[in-house]
Amino acid sequence: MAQGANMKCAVRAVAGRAFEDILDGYFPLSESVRQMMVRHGFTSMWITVLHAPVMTLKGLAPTDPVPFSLPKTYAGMIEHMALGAASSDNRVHLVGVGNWFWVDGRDEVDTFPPSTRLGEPAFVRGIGIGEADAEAGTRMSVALARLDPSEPIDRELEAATRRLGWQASRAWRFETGVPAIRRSDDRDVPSSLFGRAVGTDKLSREVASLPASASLSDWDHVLVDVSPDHPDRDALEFAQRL
Amino acid sequence: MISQKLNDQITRIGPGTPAGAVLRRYWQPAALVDELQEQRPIVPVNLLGERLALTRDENGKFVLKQRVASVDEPPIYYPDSDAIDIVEDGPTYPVVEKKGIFFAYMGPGDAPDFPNFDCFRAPDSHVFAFKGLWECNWLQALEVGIDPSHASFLHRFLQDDDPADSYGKQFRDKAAHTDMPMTQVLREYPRPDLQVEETDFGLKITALRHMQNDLTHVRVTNQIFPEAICIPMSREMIITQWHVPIDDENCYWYTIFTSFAKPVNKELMREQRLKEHRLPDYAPLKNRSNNYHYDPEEQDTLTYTGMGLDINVHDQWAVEGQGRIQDRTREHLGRGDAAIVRYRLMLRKAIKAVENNKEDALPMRNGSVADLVGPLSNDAIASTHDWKEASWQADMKRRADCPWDASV
Repeated sequence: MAQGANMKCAVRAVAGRAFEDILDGYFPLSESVRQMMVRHGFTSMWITVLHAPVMTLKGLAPTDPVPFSLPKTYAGMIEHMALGAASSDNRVHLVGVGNWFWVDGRDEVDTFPPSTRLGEPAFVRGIGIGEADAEAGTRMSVALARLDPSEPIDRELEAATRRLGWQASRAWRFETGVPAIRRSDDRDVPSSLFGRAVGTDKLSREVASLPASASLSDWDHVLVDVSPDHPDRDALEFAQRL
Repeated sequence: MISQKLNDQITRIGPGTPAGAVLRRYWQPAALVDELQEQRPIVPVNLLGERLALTRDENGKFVLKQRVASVDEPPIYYPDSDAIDIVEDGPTYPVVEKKGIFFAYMGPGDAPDFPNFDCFRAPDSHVFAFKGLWECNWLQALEVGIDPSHASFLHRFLQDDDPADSYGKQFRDKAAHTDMPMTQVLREYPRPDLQVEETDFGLKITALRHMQNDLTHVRVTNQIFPEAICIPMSREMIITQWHVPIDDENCYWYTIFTSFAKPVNKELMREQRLKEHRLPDYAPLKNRSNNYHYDPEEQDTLTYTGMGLDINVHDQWAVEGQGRIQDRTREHLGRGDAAIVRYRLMLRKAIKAVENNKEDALPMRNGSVADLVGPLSNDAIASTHDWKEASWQADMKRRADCPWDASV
């Protein structure tokens, strides 16, 4: 990994893009995420979900089809959730942080089961990382970073952005500490959901590209290029909406 | 397929309800100016679950005041002026008159500015307002209007009329600059690709119908938060339509028809619509009680519904047929319902913002609302590769040819 002289974080550009789409409703969350990744050709993905109704149908296995009408159910709402997803062998592994509630008196627990079904389709925005390697010389719009926890986060992200050769970026922290979707606390919301805006005026571009099999588990931040000189205006627009 | 509690959260609008609190942060159409007549100086208004009356205050300004009503009063009760008693110590709401409609503000604090949309900018000669009753919840009424696919089925005409006879009628004009009737476009290309973008005022919804010879029909419609739509009616006119709750189980649509080039023929527009509605409550003559004048022979030869040529009746049947409040525990939305999904997200965000006293987070409740113009709302047929530019240019040409300032 490339290391800057005065920074300790690791950063790698990857073949990815900001995007928005709709998760299918009524299926288990993990299945809807898996299908979305297949549609876009992503191997890894980071998304945010807001105000999405959810339900747990009593006696209905995750592989069972969606019933015609709502039987005995526990209904609730994801208020906000930031999810990291990685697929392998046609399965998807979800980690993340979020907040949710149940309206029908279900016991509250601190992890959100990925088998929970969405109560209706859910609009999401996020960043996907694809299978294909980027062509040599192509400007990459997405990067993964692992920050040194002993250093100030803003300084680390600014240095990472500079090394990527970007004028500006936005960065989100994703969950690596627990193998689940956990309930967020106040500290999570700014960094995991809304992200941080990072700007720099000194560019160095000294970052290598990551090969196709990028795994989120080695990293703790995802960055997207929002430089005013971004050559792909559509990509920039999607990134700015995140 | 959401639970009853979550359905109640987004549908019920009485005082103290989450969705009602959001709607009360916006100007609401309360009555048509046509309703206020010499023999009717006080107009009954049934709005957001409250029994009100349009009258004047001691300074002669129009206001809404609470009126005396029995608990078993029918939802659409429309007493004569001399039968209206005002509750003197009841709430009073400010009213402004805009383009044939009295708008009321029933929320806390200062009322927001009006956006400078075409329907409010056009001179009085180029607008016409009307309303009609639908006996169902306001949300299902709105949601049919933000589903661009439904027109290819619900409003399917099996034969095409002469577009020369299309004045004042939806979907009966030629499509864009071609000789193809809109009815043919909708019928032959029933599965549009949809693009939905969030805007400062709500949603921009683009339906792309990919045709033969590398041509694409582009139809741009809009959702104006919280409960209005702005859609093209013909090459000449657009429709801005609010779905205004009377109570949880009834609503009025209020429409401002806005013409770009020529003044609106108001007499003809009024005559066309009064043939379909009774006064004074603007209840539709075709309704649930008479099976919407359903005619199986017409359905076999002329229309998808068999309910006549007025598409408003088709929509009315479709949304009233879902029940007084649509049972969303039995609903299955797909990705083709993209605009409905995006709208409900906006509504739930707004409910949360009001609960947290963050009213600045509501659409059109901060910043320069009066600077909002447009919105772009038209039909165009273009080469598939440059449909976006062609759609924009078609709208710009219509605005440039317009005698009033429709610049954006």
